[in-house]
This record gives sequence, C-alpha cells and structure tokens, in this order.
Amino acid sequence: MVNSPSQRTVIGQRLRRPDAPDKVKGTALYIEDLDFAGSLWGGVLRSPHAHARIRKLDTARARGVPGVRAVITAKEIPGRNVIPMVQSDWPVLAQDFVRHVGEGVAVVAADTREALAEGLAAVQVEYEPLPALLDMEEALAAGEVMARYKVRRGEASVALTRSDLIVVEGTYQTPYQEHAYIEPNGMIAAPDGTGGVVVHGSMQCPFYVQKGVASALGLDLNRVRIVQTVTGGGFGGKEDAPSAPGAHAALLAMATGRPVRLILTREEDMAVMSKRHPARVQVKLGATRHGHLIAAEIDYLLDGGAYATLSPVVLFRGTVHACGPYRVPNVKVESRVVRTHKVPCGAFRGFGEPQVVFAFEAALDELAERLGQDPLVLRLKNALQIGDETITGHRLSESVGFREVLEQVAAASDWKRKREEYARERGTVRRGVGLAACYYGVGLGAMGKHLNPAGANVVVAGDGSVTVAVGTTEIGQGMVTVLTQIAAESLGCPPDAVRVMEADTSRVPDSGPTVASRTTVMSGNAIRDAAAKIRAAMEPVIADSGLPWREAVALCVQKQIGLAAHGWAVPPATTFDLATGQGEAYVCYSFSANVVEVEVDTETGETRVKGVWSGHDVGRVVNPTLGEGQVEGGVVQGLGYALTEEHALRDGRILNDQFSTYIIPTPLDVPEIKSVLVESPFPWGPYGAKGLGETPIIAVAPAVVAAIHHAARIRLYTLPATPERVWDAIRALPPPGEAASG
Amino acid sequence: MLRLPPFRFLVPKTSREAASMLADHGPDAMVVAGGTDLYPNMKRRQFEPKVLVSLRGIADTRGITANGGLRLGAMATLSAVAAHADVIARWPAVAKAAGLVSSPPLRNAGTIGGNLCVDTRCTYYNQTEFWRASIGYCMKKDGHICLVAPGSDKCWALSSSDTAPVMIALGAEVTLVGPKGERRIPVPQLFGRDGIAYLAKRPEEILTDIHVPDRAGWSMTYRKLRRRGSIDFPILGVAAAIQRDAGGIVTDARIVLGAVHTHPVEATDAQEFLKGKRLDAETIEMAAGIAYKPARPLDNADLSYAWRKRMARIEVGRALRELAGLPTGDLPPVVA
Ligand SMILES: Cc1cc2nc3c(=O)[nH]c(=O)nc-3n(C[C@H](O)[C@H](O)[C@H](O)COP(=O)(O)OP(=O)(O)OC[C@H]3O[C@@H](n4cnc5c(N)ncnc54)[C@H](O)[C@@H]3O)c2cc1C
Ligand code: SF4
Repeated sequence: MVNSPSQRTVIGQRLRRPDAPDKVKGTALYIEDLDFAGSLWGGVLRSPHAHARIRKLDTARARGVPGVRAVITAKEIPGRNVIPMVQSDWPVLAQDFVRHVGEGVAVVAADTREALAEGLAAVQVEYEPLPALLDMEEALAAGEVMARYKVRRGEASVALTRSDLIVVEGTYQTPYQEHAYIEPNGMIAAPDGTGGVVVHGSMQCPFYVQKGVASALGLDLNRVRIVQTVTGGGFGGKEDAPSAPGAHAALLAMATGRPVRLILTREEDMAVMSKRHPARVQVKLGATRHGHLIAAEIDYLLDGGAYATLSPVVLFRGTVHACGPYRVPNVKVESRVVRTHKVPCGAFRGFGEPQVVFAFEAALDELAERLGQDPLVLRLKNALQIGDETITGHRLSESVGFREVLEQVAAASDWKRKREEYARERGTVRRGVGLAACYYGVGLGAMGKHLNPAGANVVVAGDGSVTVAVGTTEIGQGMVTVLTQIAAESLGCPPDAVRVMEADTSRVPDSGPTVASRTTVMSGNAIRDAAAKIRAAMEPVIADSGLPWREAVALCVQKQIGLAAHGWAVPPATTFDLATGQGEAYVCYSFSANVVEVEVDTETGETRVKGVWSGHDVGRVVNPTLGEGQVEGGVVQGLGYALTEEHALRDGRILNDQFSTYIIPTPLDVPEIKSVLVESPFPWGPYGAKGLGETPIIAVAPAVVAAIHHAARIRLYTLPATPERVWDAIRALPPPGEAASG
Repeated sequence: MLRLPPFRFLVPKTSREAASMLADHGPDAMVVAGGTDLYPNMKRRQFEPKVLVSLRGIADTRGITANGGLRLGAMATLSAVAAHADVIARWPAVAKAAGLVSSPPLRNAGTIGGNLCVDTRCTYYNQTEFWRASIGYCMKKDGHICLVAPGSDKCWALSSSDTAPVMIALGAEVTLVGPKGERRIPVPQLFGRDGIAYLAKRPEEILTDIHVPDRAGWSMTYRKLRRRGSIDFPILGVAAAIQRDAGGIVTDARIVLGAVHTHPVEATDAQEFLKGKRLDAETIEMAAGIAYKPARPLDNADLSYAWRKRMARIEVGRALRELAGLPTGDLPPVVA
C-alpha cells in the first residue's frame, strides 16, 4: 500500500539508525580513514605567544627541506586573508601580529610526516612579545567590546527598590568547556583538475567551510565543493572552527596540485580550536513574598577570545534567554562579549545559554530558600504559559509545554518526598535533589535570518528507491534517521527505500548551518515540501489504485512522470528591535527541566550524581530512541560542565590540553538518566516537531549545584563544583551548624 | 594523533640478556614492559630512547605464585594480579590497588613491574613537545629550572604508582637482575629522592620479581582518591596494614601515602603512635592527624595542594576505620 501521508506510520517509531552498524563495526570511514592517491601531509606552524608582533617570517630554509612541497604564509594567500564569519576579523593565517597561542602563522605540505615536522621547524619566525589582555574584566575596562545587546522591559531598576520585594543578588562564574568530540578536526583538500577544489572533512556546516575556502582562494562558490565525511561529533565545535583547517588544506592543495591531508592531533585541537565562552554573570532578582517574580537585572559578560567568530550570535541567544522560561515583567539585561588574547571561543551546544541559565537558576534557587518555598512551586508559579510574554515581549500563542515538563519530572523523580526526607540527613554523606529549567528558541531566530532557509532535493529512482539530499549534516545526533522517517512519511514509502546522503555543497543550495536545534524542523520541512510536489505528480496516475510503493513508482515511470523535486523551507517571519531587545527573538521555543539527585561527601567535598530526570517539551517525538539519546548525551555533557570540566591557563596558554587532564565523565560517573519527553506540538514544525539538540545540556549544572545545596547547605557561585570548591564552602559555613561536622 | 618517534625494538630471551642490552646501549636505551606509561610519554617526547628493550620475550615472568609468601612476576598484568584468587584472599590490598589502576584496557596491558617503575608526574612535564617548548622547558626534560618551585634544585614530580604504597606497607622486596648478577632489595630502596632520578636502581637493572611476605593475621587496605570512577592517576593513595594481637592491641602498623611526594611516603610517626594501642575512633583520629604531616604535595597535579594535603588526613582516618571495622562514612565505591 502506498500510505496516504495523513496516516502516520513512521513518525514516533524507534526506527534503527541506518548509520549504526558501520559505526559499531568500525567500517564507517572518518576523515583519517580516507586515502587519496599521492596525498601530502599538511600541518600548521602555530604561535607560542598570546600576543606578539611578527618581526620576521622567513620560509626560505623550510622550502629547502627535502620533501617539503609548499610553505604558505599570509603573503601567499591568493584570495582574502579572512575567514568570513559575523565580523571580518579572523585571518586564515596571522599577518604582522599573532593574537592567541596556537594561531596559525604558516602552513606546510610535505611528502612524509617527518619532512613535514622538519619543514615546520625550519620556518624562521621572530616574535616581539607584546602585553596580552588575558582577563575579561580587564578587556571590558579597556573597551575591547566585540558586541553588546540589551533587553529593556518595564522598569527593572526602579522595581528592585520596592520595599515589599525579597531580592537576591549574586555574581556567577562559568569556565571554558571543551566539545570533546570523539574525532578531532580534519580536512583533506584536492584540486579538482579544472581550477577548483574539493574538500572532504569532519564538519557541521559545509556552507561555512565553502565560504571560507572560496574567500581564501579567491574562487567562486561553484569552484569549491565541500563534502562532509562521517563526522565524529560536533557539539558546535565543528560549526565555525573547521573553516580554518578547510582553508589551510585547500591553500596547500592548490599550491601543490596534490591532495593534502590536514588532520589535527587531539592536543592541537584542544589547544587551538573553539570552546564554550567563559562567563561572568551578575544577577539581581526580586519577587513578592508570595513568590511572584517582579524584576531582574542581569549583567552578562563573555570572554570571546581573539576573534569574533560567532561570539555576537552566542551572546544574543544568552541575552534574550537570560531570565529563563518565566514571566518577569521588569527586566534589564546588559550583555557584552569582549576581545582577549586567548583562543577564540565559538559555538557550543546551548550557545550562550548554559552560562546565564546557570546564574539565573542558581539565583532562583536561592530566592526559593529566602521565600521558604519549594523550588518547584516557585517555578510553577512563574512558568510561561500560552498567552504569556517572554522577556523580549514575544507573546506565546502555541506549543508551550513547560508546566507539564515541570510536573512530570517532579513526579518521575519523587521530588516532594526526597526534598523533605533528604533535608533531615545528618551523616557525613548527604543526599540532595535540585531542580533547574530552561527554554531554547528553535532555529537561528532574529540574528540569523539570512541563514535560516533550508533546501532538499528528493529523487525517486525507477526502482522506487529514494535519494534525499539536504544541506544539513549527520553529526551523530541521528539526523539521517529522523529525516528518513520524515521522507518516508511524507512520500508514503517504506523507510528502507530512503537514503539520506552525506552533505555535499554541489547537491543542494546553501541550507545554513547544522546548529541551533534547527535540523529536524528546517530540513524536515524542506523534504516535506519536495515530497508534496512528488506526491502531487504521482496522484493523477496512481489515484486510489492501492498499489504498493514500488509498483506505483513503476507505473509513474511508465507514464513518464518526473519523480524528483526541490523543496525549500523558510520559517515564519519574526520582528525584533535591537535597540530595546524587544520582539520575537525566535519562532518557537523548546522547554526543559531537570531534577538531579546527588550524594555529597561533606568531609572531602566529593559529589556523586545518583540520578537525573530530564524533561523536554519537543513538540513531537519523531524517534523516541534518538530523542533519549540526545537527552542522555546532553545530560552527560552537562554533568561534566557542572563537576569537572575547566581549563587552567598560564600566560594565555591552556595547561590541560589532553584527556588525562581535561576531565570529562566516564561511564562510571554517569548515573541512570530518565528522559521525560512531552509533546506540545509546534504546528509549523514537521508533524509538530521542534528542536531537542540543545535543551538537554543547558539546565543540568544549575540543577546539580542546587542539589549540592540541598545536601550540604552550601551555595556555589563558580563552576565546576570541584571537591575543593565544595570543601572550601563547607568549611566556610558558620561553626556550630550541624553541616560543619566534617 | 601523536606519533611515536622512531626506535629499535629488541626482544631478549632472558633477563640477564636484557640487562646486557641495556648496559650496551647506555642512556640511549630503555626497558619496556606493557608500554602503557612509556609509549604515551614517548609520544609527548618526554623521553626519546633510540632503543627499546622489551621484556615480553622472556619466559616465566608473568607467573603469580602464592605458597607462604606471594611471588609476582614483574610482567604479570595488573588485571591478572587483581583477579588472582589467592591475592584477593590473602593480600587484598594488592588486588585492590592493582584493580584501581587506570582503566580495564590499560590494566590488561600494564604490568605490575611497570607500575612500580612508573614515571613520576607533574603538570609541567606530562605535556606535548609543543606545549613544553612554548611554556619553557623544566629540568626534568630539556630545561634548567623547576617551574613549580623555581628556586628548587630538585624536581618535585609526584610518585603516582598505585601499587608501590601497598608493597611498602606489606614489606615487599624486589629482585633486580643486572648483566652480572642479581640482588634483592626492600621496595623503599627502589625509590630515589628526586622526581628525575626517581628510581634508585642502576639503569641497566631489570625488575624481575616482587616478593610479598605472608601477612596472615594482618588487616590491610588501599584507598585511592581520584576525580572519576576510572582512568585517573591517584590524587592521593593510602595503603594501610595493621597487625593486632588477640586482645586487639596493635602490634605493628604501616601507613604509606602515594602521590604526595617524589616517592611513596611512610608515615613513620603515626605508625609508632599506633603501636600498643587499641584501634578505636579516637586513636584513629589522632593517628590520622599525625600521618598526613609528611605529605609534600606541590601545585603540580590535579586540584589544589592544600586540599590534597588535608585529604591525606581524612583518607588515612578512613583507611584505619575500615581496618577497625568502623563505618568509614564515605561515598560507596562505584561498581564497575
Ligand atoms: C590514561 C592512563 C591512566 C593511568 N592511570 C594510572 C593509575 O591510575 N595508576 C597508576 O599507577 N598508573 C597509571 N597509569 C600508568 C601505567 O598504565 C601503569 O602504571 C602501568 O602499570 C605501567 O605498566 P607497564 O607495564 O605498561 O609499564 P611501561 O610503560 O612498559 O613502563 C613504565 C616504566 O617502567 C619501566 N619498567 C617497566 N617494567 C620494568 C621492569 N620490569 N624493570 C625495570 N623497569 C621497568 C619502563 O622503562 C618505564 O620507565 C596510567 C596510564 C595511562 C596512559
Ligand atoms: S617538579 Fe619542577 S622540575 Fe619536576 S617536572 Fe615539575 S616543573 Fe619539572
């Protein structure tokens, strides 16, 4: 039977991932597995200084090293020496100045790894070290602001002086976070023999890499073809950052006429690629004695590093989400991202939200304590509902499942009983539960409108098999599976007839980036658009013949019906006023809340997470297994952010650039994670779906810290909650208090 | 991926032959057992031997025999030691320490001999060549000063073996084979007093056997502090072994701290303090207060040294409570 698209059969099923067997067996081909005949080894000479003038850069000796085929510096770049991102400040290779440790100064291609190492060592650079700005507050004082935003709603400063309000205030610090994808960044570029270049690589956003390569080489976009290889994770780290290795490899390939492999080592990747921005957030939050939020003042500061990359957009998202999914009538948010002489920070799952959400939710937890209210009750009282306005004045008319999410995670975790019971614990090891919530605007929103549309090409072959090409990427999140389901559903064909191809810029128009939890919605809708066109062409021929899919296709082929179509999705228009920070920041929002249970050893300060109940309103669950996968992965990443992950720096140099010193959770550190998926459909989304990629990481750290407070009565204002921080805070508790028995 | 530098790989048939090869090649050669410490360090260019003498071809070095005392062949893997029924039953602290080293795959490859000889560690040393070159070399490799304690003429890199404190607490000895003969020394004499020359044996000597005396009637344990449930080197290790008479009076006590100095540190004052006493809560508290004093952590490992030093007191207390059968009051262990 050809299923009528209205009879849903595939959406909501646990379809197995088509890419799983190869990934499990080890037969999937990642970038380092690919062999290109005659390829050279490419590498980057990197700055050892945070800030220096390049007095002399001499490549003559390096060029003379046997086996070295090309040495390229800023001077030899045929196109523009800039990677196009939000601002045009990020050079492909340093020119005259280096502005962070690890910045590329020259690239070298050679016959062998040994010749490459020798060539890199033979490049002579004379640096004149300059004073470096390494602290974000100092950068702010020096006026090094890359971007700033604000939200103005009501009269926050006046309201906060009201004598009937309970006001809490705090300054919060959050650290760098590493994406820790399983595969470092890497690219292989090869000349295409007709003056253009083909670049294969590990990436999230082929069209970003395409623009970066075209700009550096001075080529038209149709001369630069980017093919995404099986990608071992991205989490935002393969969004803006891969444009640099892409351009480096392409420069070398064009200079030598040979394929060039440029694959970073893990240590190199950690030392020089983008990370989550460290932040400082000041929060002042006031509520009535009954717990109605009245006013919030937030000052949000991000350390952007040396170049802007996507920092302004990251900051924007954090700014408009600064007060979480709550009604707050008076709000003043002031936000800035500053330039320092450190590695550029960029996109990272959550995109500017985890920092500010940690601060706001921690303040809310403190407010609940001051009010003598259960943190759940306080949140329910202020939770956004249909008809309410966000702090940017966006009136929500549909798809707000926040209350259900809160109620369901509370029920699933046995919140009420644990809150009461654990509060009475007196031993060395104490249990605690904490709650935190967030919401997340799906898609690129007001700041990324020009990148928002997405395309799909759907081709049905004579045998009924279907090829789907989209411009977004599978990065482990399960896009191929979800889009297979959407294609099957909208065409009315069996899912095993569908093949979703790897992203290739020559197959589809620029479809924007694979970020912002937009892929299911945008590529899904583009596929539905194309499928509708194909169905419309088929309908007159097959009518209600009841033919199975493959026979129906055969009949259409016989009648010379064209069974291919291009689909295009453009999200509904939004309006936003940057001067006041008011408007529809995003088309719709996903909502989330977590309950975290911990045990704290009050003698050592060690925290162990015993359970996480993670709730999400995702509109519609296309594939529950993948939905749970997103939740579990995000929660684990959030636990690392909460408890162990941070970078120590000295003179702008990252001290821990290896997995032995950059500490992410192992399976033994991860408790059982219960996903609670709530469906409050988003009518414009495919079958009601909205995004789920990012909510799972955002509200984990504040829930952990709230749970630590419940267990050990201490407030932490700095992440991660390392044993020594917890221990210091416990020791600082006022003496005879029972909590200080450790 | 970081790559190994080139080297020659020699596979002698006997320990004596291995020792001669080491002697012949002098400072250019190093011995490799499981390679789980050596190879990552070579990838980071912490050392660059031209010749590696492998112990894998030598017969009968993996054996574990327990009659009376325990004999561990140096090439016995940590997994084998941790899973051996006699070891678990009679020297449980040895099994526990071996089972707490890094992660299952590394325990399958890493050896007990390699664990005793494992290199000392420091934030400024366990780094890539690029990193060390850009921050400035330290004297453990290529440099002239100590970056942790700039005025110091000695290196403070930390002894990070999990099994060494236990071996010392149990009074173990090792057999060392040189080109001309062999000798047997107590484990403490294996260790030097500097983070660079951290082994006191001659470079060409090979550790072939570990001998742990019968400790019937003793109670023993090993506790390890680390950030995660797996993989991490110890932030702190505490080995404790106590012998009591029929009346419960301590007749002998050994407390050895790991990862707090360039070598495992025996808490001799606390040991003396415990002798002749009953192991009650108060005595334990006082012993712990004495035991942590010789710890000398510097700012060259994970987490602050002040916290690590204070934890030595807490963890010694917990180790002794464990042996006394009192509640330790800590987080239950993660079950692998
Ligand atoms: C990620 C990671 C985590 C780790 N975690 C821990 C940990 O938690 N605790 C811990 O103790 N160790 C840890 N290690 C270090 C190492 O894995 C173990 O110490 C292991 O037991 C070393 O044994 P091996 O046989 O692999 O030694 P090798 O790497 O072969 O050798 C280590 C050193 O000992 C010398 N050596 C080895 N055998 C002999 C011998 N018979 N005679 C003379 N010299 C010899 C070598 O020359 C070398 O200097 C870790 C390593 C890694 C990579
Ligand atoms: S303690 Fe000093 S000399 Fe030793 S490894 Fe560390 S920095 Fe180098």
